[in-house]
Amino acid sequence: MIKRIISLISIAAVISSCNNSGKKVAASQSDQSGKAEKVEFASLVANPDNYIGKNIIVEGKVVHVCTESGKKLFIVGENPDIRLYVAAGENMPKFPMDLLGSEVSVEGVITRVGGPAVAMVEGESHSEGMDAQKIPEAGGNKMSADSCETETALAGQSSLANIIMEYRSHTVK
Amino acid sequence: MNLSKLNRVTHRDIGYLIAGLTIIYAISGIALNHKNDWNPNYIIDSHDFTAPITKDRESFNSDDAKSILKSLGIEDEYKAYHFPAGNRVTIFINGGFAQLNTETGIGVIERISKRPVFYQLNFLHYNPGRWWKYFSDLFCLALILVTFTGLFLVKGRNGITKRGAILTVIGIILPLLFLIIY
Repeated sequence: MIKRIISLISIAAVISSCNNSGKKVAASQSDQSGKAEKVEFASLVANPDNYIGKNIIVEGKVVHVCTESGKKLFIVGENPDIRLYVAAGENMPKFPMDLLGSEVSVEGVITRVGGPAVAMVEGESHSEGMDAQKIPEAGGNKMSADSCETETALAGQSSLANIIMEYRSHTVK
Repeated sequence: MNLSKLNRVTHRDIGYLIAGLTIIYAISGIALNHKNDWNPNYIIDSHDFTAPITKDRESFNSDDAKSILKSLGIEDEYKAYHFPAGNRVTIFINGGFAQLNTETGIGVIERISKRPVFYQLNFLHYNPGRWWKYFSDLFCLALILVTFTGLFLVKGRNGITKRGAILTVIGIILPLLFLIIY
């Protein structure tokens, strides 16, 4: 009996690990799916108001994935200074770290918030000791600081600073 | 079956059922409790390096990024680069990134890998999806059931009316004390 149980657990573990290896497409919430409109990143940057409340697909390069919560992803288009904050909701899995540097198509709903996007989503400090963006200390060779530079930079952007994409799915190009 | 036996059987069998999940939540709970002291999900291996760079971001391109990686012996790992305003360029490589301060020439390579076991346990702890949410709700209800049935397992001087009562009250007072302290 115990041997059978152990065998079943082993099979379940193998199936589970195989299932996690696929990296092309992440989860989507079928009950919220509306037909997504494909939008150029530059169009979104130029006229974010046109897309508020809409389910869109936008392509960009992943420049930051939060290692702490795993629920924050930042992508850029042609302009490296304008990042789009993609937030995975409670029922979404974490973003895998190997997305860093990848070109992706992300689907989600664009929303506007009353303040800097990251601060509005999380009412907590954004201290990220293991964050992907770190600042070299002046005169030393140690990377410093527990602050998340990406989030600080987002708040100072000329566009999309208070825009969040509520993540639904992504595809690695 | 009398009430006492039903209580014992319920406690025993539900206890068996939730043993695995209790361990998952307990271990990941400790790990996440200390997330300010360590990264419970990832192992981040950092190495400092220096690489003189003379280009500004307008003239910087992928060849320059690869050249930096070549000097580090990891040219083949190039994925992309990101050079926003300021003095830091990030070069993405397989499994991590290299980040360079273009003024000082000081940089760091960070390789990020999943922390074995903890990553998977924390993944479950963080509620990865809707069905897990319902499943973990059931687990919590089962935990409550096991707790209550556990209170009435033993009779006599070690039971809930004597020794058990004292220990149970202590267990309730302790979190209340923390509430008062904080």
